[in-house]
Parts: sequence; C-alpha cells; structure tokens
Amino acid sequence: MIELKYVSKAFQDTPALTRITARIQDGLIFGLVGSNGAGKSTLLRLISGILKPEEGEITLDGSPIFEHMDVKKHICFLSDSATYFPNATPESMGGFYQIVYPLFDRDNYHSLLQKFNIPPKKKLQTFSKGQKKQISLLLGFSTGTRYLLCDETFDGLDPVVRQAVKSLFAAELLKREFTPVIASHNLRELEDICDSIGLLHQGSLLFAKDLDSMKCSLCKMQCVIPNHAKEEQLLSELSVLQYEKSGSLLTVTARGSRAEVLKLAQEKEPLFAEVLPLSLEEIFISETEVAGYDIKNLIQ
Amino acid sequence: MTSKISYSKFIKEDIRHRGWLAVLSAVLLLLCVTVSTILFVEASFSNNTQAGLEEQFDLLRNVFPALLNGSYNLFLSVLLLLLGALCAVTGFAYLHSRERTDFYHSLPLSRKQLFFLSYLSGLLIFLVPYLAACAFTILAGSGYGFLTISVLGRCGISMLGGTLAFLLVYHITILAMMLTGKVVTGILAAASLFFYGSITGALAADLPSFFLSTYCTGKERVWDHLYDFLSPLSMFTQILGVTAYHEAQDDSYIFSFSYFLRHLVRPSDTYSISVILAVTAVFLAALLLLTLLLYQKRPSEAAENALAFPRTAPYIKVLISIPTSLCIGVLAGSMYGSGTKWIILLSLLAVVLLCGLIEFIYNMDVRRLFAGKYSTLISVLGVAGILCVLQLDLFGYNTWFPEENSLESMSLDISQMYGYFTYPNTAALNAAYSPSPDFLYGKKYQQKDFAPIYALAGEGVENTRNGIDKLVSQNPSEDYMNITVRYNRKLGYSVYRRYAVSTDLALETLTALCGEESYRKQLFPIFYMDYDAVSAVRLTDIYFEPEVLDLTESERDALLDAYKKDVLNVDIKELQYETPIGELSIDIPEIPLSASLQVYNSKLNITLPGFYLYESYENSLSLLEEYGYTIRRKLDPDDVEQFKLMESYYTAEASADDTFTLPETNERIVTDPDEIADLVSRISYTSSRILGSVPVSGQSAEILLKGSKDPSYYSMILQDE
Repeated sequence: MIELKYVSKAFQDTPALTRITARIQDGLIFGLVGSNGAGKSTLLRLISGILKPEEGEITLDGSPIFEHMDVKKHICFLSDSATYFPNATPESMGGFYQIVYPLFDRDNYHSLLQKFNIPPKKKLQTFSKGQKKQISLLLGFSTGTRYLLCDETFDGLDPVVRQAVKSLFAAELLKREFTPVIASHNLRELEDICDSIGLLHQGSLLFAKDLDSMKCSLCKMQCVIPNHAKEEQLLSELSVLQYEKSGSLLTVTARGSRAEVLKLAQEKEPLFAEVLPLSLEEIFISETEVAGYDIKNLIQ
Repeated sequence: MTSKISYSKFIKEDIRHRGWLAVLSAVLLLLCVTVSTILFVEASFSNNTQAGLEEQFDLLRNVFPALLNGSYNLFLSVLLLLLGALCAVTGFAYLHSRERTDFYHSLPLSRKQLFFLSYLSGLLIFLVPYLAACAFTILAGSGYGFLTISVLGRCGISMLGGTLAFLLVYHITILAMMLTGKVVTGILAAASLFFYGSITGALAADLPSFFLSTYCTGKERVWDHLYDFLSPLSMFTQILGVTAYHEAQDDSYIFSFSYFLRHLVRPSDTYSISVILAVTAVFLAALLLLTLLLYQKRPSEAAENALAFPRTAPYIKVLISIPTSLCIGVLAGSMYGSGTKWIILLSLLAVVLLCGLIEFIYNMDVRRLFAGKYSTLISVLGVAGILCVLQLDLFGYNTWFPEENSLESMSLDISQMYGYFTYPNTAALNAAYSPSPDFLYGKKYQQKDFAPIYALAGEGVENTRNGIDKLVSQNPSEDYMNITVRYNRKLGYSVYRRYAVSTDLALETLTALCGEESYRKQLFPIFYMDYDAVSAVRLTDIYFEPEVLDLTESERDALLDAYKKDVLNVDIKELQYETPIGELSIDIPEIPLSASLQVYNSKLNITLPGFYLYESYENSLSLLEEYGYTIRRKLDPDDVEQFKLMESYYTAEASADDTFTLPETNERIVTDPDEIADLVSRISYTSSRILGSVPVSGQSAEILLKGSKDPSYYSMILQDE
C-alpha cells in the first residue's frame, strides 16, 4: 500500500502540494482528479520517486520510495508525454525495458503490440501521438510492476483503444497484484474505471474516497409535491446539498441512501418521485461546494 | 532485483542510443591520430637522403609520442576538447529535459547507478576508438622502423596523457551539466569552468600592472602553483605536454602547441610528470566526487531552468561578471591608449552589460534584464571597488618602502643591461650552456651588503611619489631608467618592485656592486665561456668587417684571459660614458632548438657578439697588436662610397598624444667627399652602453664602403654636432 503523510512540495517559491495525506489501497484503481495545475503530475512524480518531497514522507509498504531501488522496482511511471530514444522502435524500447525491469514480460508485450496492430520494427518517430501513448501503456503493462502510475493516460487515445485499455486494466487486476493510479482532469473518463478517487485542488487533497460509497451516500431525486408546506417539510428533513425548482418540478441532491430519500418523499404524497443516477461530476460539484470551493473554478 | 540489472547491457544500449557520437568519435580519431600521423611520417621521409634518414628517425622518435596525444597535433588537441564536451553533453543532456528526466529518474536505478552508467558509456565512446587509433598508428609506425621499446613506452604515457586530458574536459562538462538545467547554459558553464581559472589567474597577475607603476609579481609564489593546478586550461596543456615529452632525448620540442597555449595564458615553471599525474588524478577524482554529490542533490525539477541550484544564481553572476568585465575592460581599454581611464569606463560598462546578459540567460526574458538588482549592484560595486583600489593605490603599494633593518638582503635587476651583454645560453637558447645570471631570483645574487641597492630603491620610491615614473613611461629619457628590486625580508618572504630611477644613481649603484670581483664575474659574459667550446674569435672595428682571428688555441685562450683581466679592472662608468672602439665576437657550436633547425642547420655555429673593447682594455689591445691585429679608430673618408643619412623625428601632433606612433624618417644620400669627410669625423662605433643605448630617434647613417661587392650597410648613431 502506498501511503502519503503530510507531503509538501514547492517549486522554488511556488507551492505545488501542501500537506497531502492519503492512502492508495492495493488492488484497486485509484483515480486522481483535479483541475489543470492542481498538482496531479507532481503527486505522481513524487510517488514514483522522481521528485523528493520537501516535507512529509511517501512510503510503499512502510518503506520510503525516493532513491530506494528495492521499493522503486515495484512502480512504473508513465508520463503524460511518452519518452523514447532517438531512432527507437517498439521492439528496441521493449529491449530496454527488459534490461531495466527484470520482470518485463516480452512475450506479453509482443502479443499486445500485435493485438493493438502496432508494427514492432517501425521507428517510433513515425507513429502518431496516440500510438506512442498506446506503446507507452503497453510497455507499462508489461513491466510487471505492482503499481502503474499513469499521467493523463487517456489523452489522445481514440474511444476504441480507450475501451481496450480499460479492459487491459481489468484483465491485469484479475491476473496479478496490480494497482493502477490514473491522473486525469477528465472526470467522465475515470468514472467507469476507478474504484476510489482523490480530488486535488490547488495543491491540496480535498478528499480521497471509495467511489461506490460516495455514490451510495448521495442521491439525486426529482419529484412534484402539490402541497407547498409538505415540500418545505421535505427539504427541511433532507440533508440537502443542492436543490433546484423548475415550475412544480423539484430536483434535490441530498445525503443519504436512495431508499431513505425516496421514503421521505413518498411520505409527502408526491404526484411523482424518482431517484436519478449521480454522475461523478455531480458528486464532485456537490462535495466541493460543501467544502466551500467555487465549483466554477474547480472543474474544467 | 536491481542487482539483476545487467549494467553491461545498459551501457551497450546507451552507446547504441548515442550511435552517431560513437561513429563520429571513431572516424575523427582515426583521421586525427592514425591518418594524420602517417601523413606526417610520410612527409618526413619524402625527398630524404640516406644521411638525412637517421636524423629523421631521431626526430620521429622524439615527436611520435606527442602525435598520439595532441601535443604536436593541433587537430587532435581540439578533438580531445570537442569529444570530452560532446560525450558529457550527450550523456547527461536528459537532465535538461523534463520528460527525459522523468523517464530516467522513474527507472528502478539509483542516481549513483544512472550516473556511472552514463559516465562509463561516454568514456567508452572515446576510449575504445582512441586506443584503437593509437594502436593502428603504432603498428604503422613500427613499419617504418624508427620505433624502439623506449619510444613505445613513451607512447603509452602519451596515450595516458591524452586520456587524462579527455577526462579533464569530460569531468568539467559533466559538472557544468549538473549545475545547469539547459543545454545552452550547460555549454556556457563548461566553457566558463574551463577558462575561469586562467582568466582570473591572468587578471590577478596582470591587472595591477596597468595601474601600479611599481607592480612586480616575482615568481615561485604558492598561489601561482595553485593556479597552475586549479586552472583546467593550464592543466589540460600541462598534461599533454609533460606526458608527450617524458624522457624525450631532446625536450626542446616542448615548445609545441600545448606549451605555447600554456605560456600564452601565464608563463610558469614546468613540473615533473609524477607531480602532474598525481595532481591530475586528485583533481579528476575531486571533480568526479563533486559531480556525483551534485547529481544526488540535484532536484529533478531543475530541468529546463537555467541553473539547477537557483540559489547559486546571484553568486555565479557576481563571480563571472566581475573578472570577465575587468578582462574586457583591460583588453578593450588598452587598445585606446596607455592610460587607465578607458579601462575603468569600459569595465564599468561591461559589468552592467554582462549582468544584463547573465540575467537574460537565466530568465530568457528581455523584460527581466535587470532582475537581480542586488547581485548587479554587488558586481558593479565589486568592479568599481577593485578599480578604485588600484587607481588610487589605496593600500599604498607604489610607495611602500620597508625599514632597512627589516631586510635580510636585496637584489637588483637592470633590464637595460641585457641589451649590452650576451650570454651563451640565451644566444643559443639552450640549457646546455651555463645559465645566464638571474640577478633577481638567483640565490647567489642576493646581496647581504645591500646599502647601495636600498638607496637606489629609496630614490625609486621618491620618484614614484613625485610622479616621475609616469613622466618617464610617457617620455622615455636617457636620464631615467627602470629597475627591479627584490626585498628579502627577515620574516622570510620576498617583495618585488619596479622603479624609475636616475641613470646616474643606477650607475653609481652598479659601480658599487662591481666593487666585488665576484659580482663582476657574475655580470660579464666572458666568465661564462667554456674555452673548449670556442671555435673562433672574431674582431670587428669601425669598418664593420668582422674578421676571424687567426690564432692558435693558446693564443686564443690568452686573448680571452686578457679580456677577463680588462673587464675585472675597468671602471664601470667607462662602459656607460665611453664608446667602444671595437668588439670581439666568439663562435660556439649551436645546439638547435626546434626540429626544423635540427634538420637544416645542425652543423652551424652561433656567434656571440658584444665583447666590447675600450681604450682602457690595455691587456686585450696589446695582445691583439702582438698578434698583428690593429683596431682602426676612425673611418677613412676615402674608403666610403656613399652615406645614407637618416633622420627620425616625431611630429608635434604625435608627441602630444600618448598613443604609440612610428617616427617620421627623412633620408638623404651623401656622395660629396667633403661632406662625407665631415660626417665620418663624427660617427662612433656603436650606440651600445651598459645601461641602455643612445635613443633610437635622431640622426643615423648607413655606409656603403668602396670595393664592397655587395652593398654593406651599417647603422650608426651620429655624435652631436
């Protein structure tokens, strides 16, 4: 398990991360979201041992990561811009990764190249940005490391490949001890893949929670209650995060389980009441508003 | 698991990624070592007779090792610099790119491992082709038949020198890469590190000489040695030179490119090979450790910033801008005249511009040219402070004069005397002859009874106080001359000063010193002559027709003995105020200095002139009479075909200016016998005097004697009308 305790990092005089404390549970996909410049890449670079924190500590199973090779060998970091040697080919890059990562599965890598229809002997400089990103992911998958840190991984991937990559994540999770950490500013991309989410904003971690429990503890309901007094009573009984009234239609986002909220609404004799699915974006909007952050500046 | 990483495979991969450099290195080294050496050897043997072949073999045995390390091969020297820099830049350029730094630093390798893997790859990219090229060259050389076991051993040492010189550049450039975050600033930093020691050393030695008229550094100071070994440029040239010529039979080849470079920077003593190798090894190890330490401390986020350690920015700015602007000031300012005002103005202008340039390099933003105000202010104040101290002589350097009782001894050097005397080893430029006197530094020339020198120095200090030294430097006069004095203090150190003193007092002092026979023996070149080496003695009088004296060996020795007696007895003032009536010249075998001389002039003699004869040299003159040689005191006008009378003068405009100008010259051919007779009555044999010649400007004449097959012209100074 990767654990961050009061981690701070500044670039010269500009603070990038401030006292971050979080845990990344093994075997789950951890999504790291936040606006541009929130500190997602910095956090991943700290976790992978590229940067040294000014304060706090980052440990993997209790051991510090920075400059500890026996710990770093469990982590593979995929940068937002894939780095390859001049004149390299997918095959030669595989050869290099095999030297550096002794658990690198070359057969698996070749098989993945084939599945993704990537010619192994073609020079990488002739590939498109998306293809380079694919190769980077395939190299990362094949390293056999326990943790795969992906910075803006899905940027530049077409929907088909994106889906295929998500399947790869799922397959790897089933196959071995594997914990991907995916940083993105695109909430929709992470919604259907991540198990837990950390939200970074202006260098601070607002929260890191399990996505299902977040979804269970919040619900969105639409109802029409003819009696205005009863409508007022419902709003006072619910732990409302957000509500909106359009004509006679009341839309409420409130804390509590779907059953509890619906039960309270039914008691007010509505003409119509139903619970709607909450998107990750709506959860964040609600949570961040509660946390006192201006949502308009938070999510792009 | 990291232990399972194959380092050799990693290095192989790294070299493969830098394949272009490996190919470039191999091709250039093959061209600059093997091909150029073979061409040199081929050229040496072309059009050579069998007799010349042996001489060529000797030459090649001396020069061949130097061709393997660049000491005798300019292209190879430059290539060592280029490859050292390229191997370092390509090996560590990833530190200057955020993406590539992230890539390398995310790998499960420690920074120490990464460092040594890149380091070794770079080293191998140079070393393998270099050793191969040297091996091919030696194989080719052995085919010509001049290589011996001893030369092969020297080739090995020379190759070691080449490798160490490469490592010096390599380490310096890696250090620069560690200190910076952009390739451009990395290359600039490497150049700065390489030349910084030399620039500051030269500046420290020479800058005061522009401001302090009495400034003299002396030699053998501790910081000079420090400079020799802490300046990479100086070390680079020393390593190449010393390892190339180690145990060479004739080390006169030492005046090669590397030594030229080194002496250009600052002349200094040479060191033994063991000292050079030991200091180089320590220096390289220290650089390596420092670089490794910096790599471990270097933040990854430094990539793409000008400097890896931004806190050092103002210090680096100050350290670079002050000496560089002073250098620019001195170089540019001295072109505008001999005064210091341009040096001051241009140094101050240069420091402001340099600070702006450095800030631009730091920020790449013209709007921030004058960011870092405090460091700019410190730089400007630093330059102004140094110039102020020197210009106003705030520490009283020029007027410093020690108490007489604080001195152990003193010595005096009158540079003007060196134009009057010619010593065998300076004329032949060879150490095989007795060394010429070193009045300033030689231990035996330090005078315990130094009262005359002290009095002379006292006048020098007084002249400096009164500004006479400046007047003398602007308008050279026969009445004043420059001397150098060494004060040996009882505290155990020596202080040197240059003074302008009156010629009369200098002559008095020299006369007093020459009261000791031992001093005269040190002064007069005749006492440095090895009679056995003398092949001929020539006599020249006012007719300027040098004649080889037909003497037996004993007669010749007797003549030289008589001359010795005369110089021991002569009143020194006579050597200043009287005109020589003729001179003896002595032939000694020439031991050539350079390879070309050895090839073409190896059997020649060299003639030492300047054994002047005066009317008071009775012993010599009577012996010459006895041998049948009479010195003609006057030129017979009937023997003169033509007089070319020349007059040199400075224009009024030119003399008002303190810049260097050539005098105007008027020429007039005189053939009228009456005028010739008049002119002949007024010429003297020579203008040479013990304390300097009669000034060059004024009337002089060139004379064509009758009966000469070819015109023979001799320059003579006319006596005052």
